[in-house]
Amino acid sequence: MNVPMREITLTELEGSSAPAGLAEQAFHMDEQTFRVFYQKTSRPLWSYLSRISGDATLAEDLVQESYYRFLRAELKSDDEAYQKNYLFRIGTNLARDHWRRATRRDQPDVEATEEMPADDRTAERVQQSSDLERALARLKPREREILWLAYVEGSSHKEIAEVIGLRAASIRLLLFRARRKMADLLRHTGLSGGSK
Amino acid sequence: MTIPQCDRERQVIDALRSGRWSGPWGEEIREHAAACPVCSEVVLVAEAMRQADAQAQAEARLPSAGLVWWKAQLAARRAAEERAAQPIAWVERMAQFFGVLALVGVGVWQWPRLVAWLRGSKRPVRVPDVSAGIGDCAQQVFQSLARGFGQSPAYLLLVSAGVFLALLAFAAYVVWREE
Repeated sequence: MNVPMREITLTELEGSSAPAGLAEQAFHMDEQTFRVFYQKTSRPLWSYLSRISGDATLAEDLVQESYYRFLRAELKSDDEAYQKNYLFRIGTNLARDHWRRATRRDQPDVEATEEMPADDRTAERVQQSSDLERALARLKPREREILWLAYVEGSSHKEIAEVIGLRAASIRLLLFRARRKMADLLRHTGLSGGSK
Repeated sequence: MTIPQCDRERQVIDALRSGRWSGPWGEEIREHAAACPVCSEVVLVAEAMRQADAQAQAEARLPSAGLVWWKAQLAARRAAEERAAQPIAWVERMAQFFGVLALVGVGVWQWPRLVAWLRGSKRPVRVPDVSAGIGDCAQQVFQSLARGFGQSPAYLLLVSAGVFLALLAFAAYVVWREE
């Protein structure tokens, strides 16, 4: 599935597009620095986007668009953790934008909300996949995002809040609920084998 | 709603991420997690998520960094060009408007001479009878336009021509500077 990237509008991302006249100066990173940054972040970003969207092809497009926007953004810091969070924030917003458009296309009368139900098509696509993927597909996109950032990326509550655009105080409760839901799903699917 | 918490939750996540969890250094934290309901749930979910990550990373399809860099530069250049072209396009539109206005003004001003010249031409130019009507009509429109601005038709003509020439010069300067 090809995503028409030009149509994507990043409504929630502040300062993602370069202000007028800043396009040239906005390339703060030189090519070598970018290559190093890309090597470190591209696989985790692809992994994150493919698992929260449940669509590898879409993830591929979103990764590319995320880097384009990242390179044109006015970054406030050279800190690598900040830059990585910023990149994930762009990716998250692009994925959300895609879901909103898809929801509007499929159900014109239903207003897309932040708390979207689990994507039915995603659930259908992974029906024959592993139990783990099926459990993930049954979570809401935001639950997948929070769990991924917390347990795969090791992000703090503050960092998760920055990436998904919520207050840090809300993250603890949302993370607890998502974790409990995922744990129940894993127990039901027999994936709770425990760790060594 | 009371959220069950454990102070060692962060340590558990760090141990899992760093790989210390499965080594001898992780024995103490493993014992804690086995006894703590919060941490055991964290371990269950975190391990599942990390397993999903490992599967996803194995099947990642990524373009090269060089290609992404090149495409991003191309997109930025295109955006910069579009932005730079915006004022020129505006100046062009304005110049067209004032140019047409000046042309109409000259036409109205010199209409009798123009008709005479056309009639007196050696080539058989046929001036329709309605030409006088067109001239009168254009003259009226131009004069009422001038009255609308509170100025004489000659003043409007001079201003239009002046603005047209100024905009033309400005557009030429912008193009020269860009190049």
